[in-house]
Amino acid sequence: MDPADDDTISGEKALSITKKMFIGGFLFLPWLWLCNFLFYREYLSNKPQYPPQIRRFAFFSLVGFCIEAVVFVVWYVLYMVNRKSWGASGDAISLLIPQGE
Amino acid sequence: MKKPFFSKWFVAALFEMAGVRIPLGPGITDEIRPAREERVTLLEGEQLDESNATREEEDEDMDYHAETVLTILKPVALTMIFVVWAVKTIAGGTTDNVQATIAFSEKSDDGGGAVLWKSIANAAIVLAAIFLTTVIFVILYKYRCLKIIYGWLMTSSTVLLGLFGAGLFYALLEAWNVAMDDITFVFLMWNFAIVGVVAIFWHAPTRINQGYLILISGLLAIFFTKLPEWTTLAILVIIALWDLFAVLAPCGPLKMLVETAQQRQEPIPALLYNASVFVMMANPNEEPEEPEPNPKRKGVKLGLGDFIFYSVLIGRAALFDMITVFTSFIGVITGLFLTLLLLAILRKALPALPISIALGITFYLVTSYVLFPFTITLGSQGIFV
Repeated sequence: MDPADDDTISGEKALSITKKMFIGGFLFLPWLWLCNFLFYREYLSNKPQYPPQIRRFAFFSLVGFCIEAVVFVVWYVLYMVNRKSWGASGDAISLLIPQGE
Repeated sequence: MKKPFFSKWFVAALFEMAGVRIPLGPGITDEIRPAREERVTLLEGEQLDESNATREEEDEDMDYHAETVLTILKPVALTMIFVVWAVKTIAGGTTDNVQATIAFSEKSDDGGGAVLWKSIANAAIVLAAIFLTTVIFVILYKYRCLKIIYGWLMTSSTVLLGLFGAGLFYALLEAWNVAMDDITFVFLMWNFAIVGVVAIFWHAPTRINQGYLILISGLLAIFFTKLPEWTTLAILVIIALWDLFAVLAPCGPLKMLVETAQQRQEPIPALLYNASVFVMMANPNEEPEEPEPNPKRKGVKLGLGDFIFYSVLIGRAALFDMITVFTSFIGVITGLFLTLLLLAILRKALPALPISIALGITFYLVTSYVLFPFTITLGSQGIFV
């Protein structure tokens, strides 16, 4: 589990790591997808002898991250702009209302 | 919506903290790998014998120690910067009025004697909690209950990142006066905490792993700054003395932990920051034709507990004034460098707290009682130094 050894992991291990991170990202964890992609970039992209599925997992993780990031930003902007006009239901889902409103 | 996070959460958090502190590593250890014989570089035509073996080692060691000092300094400084920034940002917030209490709360009209005994009493309670959890932890390690240990570490980290992270995030949002809905908040915290545990205990990009270690230390340190001033200082002193005892004394639990781990040739099961450098063996007499086949890594491991307590002192200094931040920072870093020097000389696990805390607190007290009034007085009279 020592992260310092990550540049010496085997191909199969790398595949299993990338795969697990990809599956884990489906639990509403786009940040995990991004970390999966960055992990690939840092350690695995210069090792062409590794199984090619790794590249696909990394690529789809990046795609998934971008999509969820867009959805998230759209939702938050919608919320911030329309919070007042939603009245009661807007307050119900609010955690923090700026002072003075 | 105001939520007094800290008063009633504190007792639970105390044990949470104690549970995380001990596994935060026994001070600072030197990592020596691989075996010494392999690390000697020979200049052309030389035979390996006693005299060059030592010389090569010493040259290499000095080089790598110099680099590791810088590698350690960066995360320590980043944690402190994070803590100072967070403390200053949320200081004006509404949760400021609620003081975290351990058992005895310092009231504003307490005289010198009352503050003294209360702070010592609070610190003693913290020490008792830490002592208990350390002993349990060492026993678990000796009997190879690694699953329990890792389970404990991971749960503590998740709770820390999730709860304290949420608390800090909430306080920041309040300070910035930003609207936030439940869904986004939970979503962000969920991502933050889960990926945090993955990054610390499993595999993740280096920067993310280091970043989370810094964040987790910072979060605990920020939490500690909610304590009253003298309690914080008393806790720091008592924990530094405990560190000294636990790592160096023959019956010290942390010493036993390090020795057992070294005997079994296993890494210490704790939250450690691994500051390592690649050692390139540059050989001036030969042409550099191939890249280094197996670049050796040597490192210094600093326990997260040390990050935390350094930052607690700096965070407390930040609550006074920025001038104390700078002087305490110098004190703590000087202590760290002295400890690293000792590490290079003595080559065994050392407690990283005592020297730094001693210097840091001394500088803090001298600054707040002497330097600060001095500069204020000069400034008010129009005399600038």
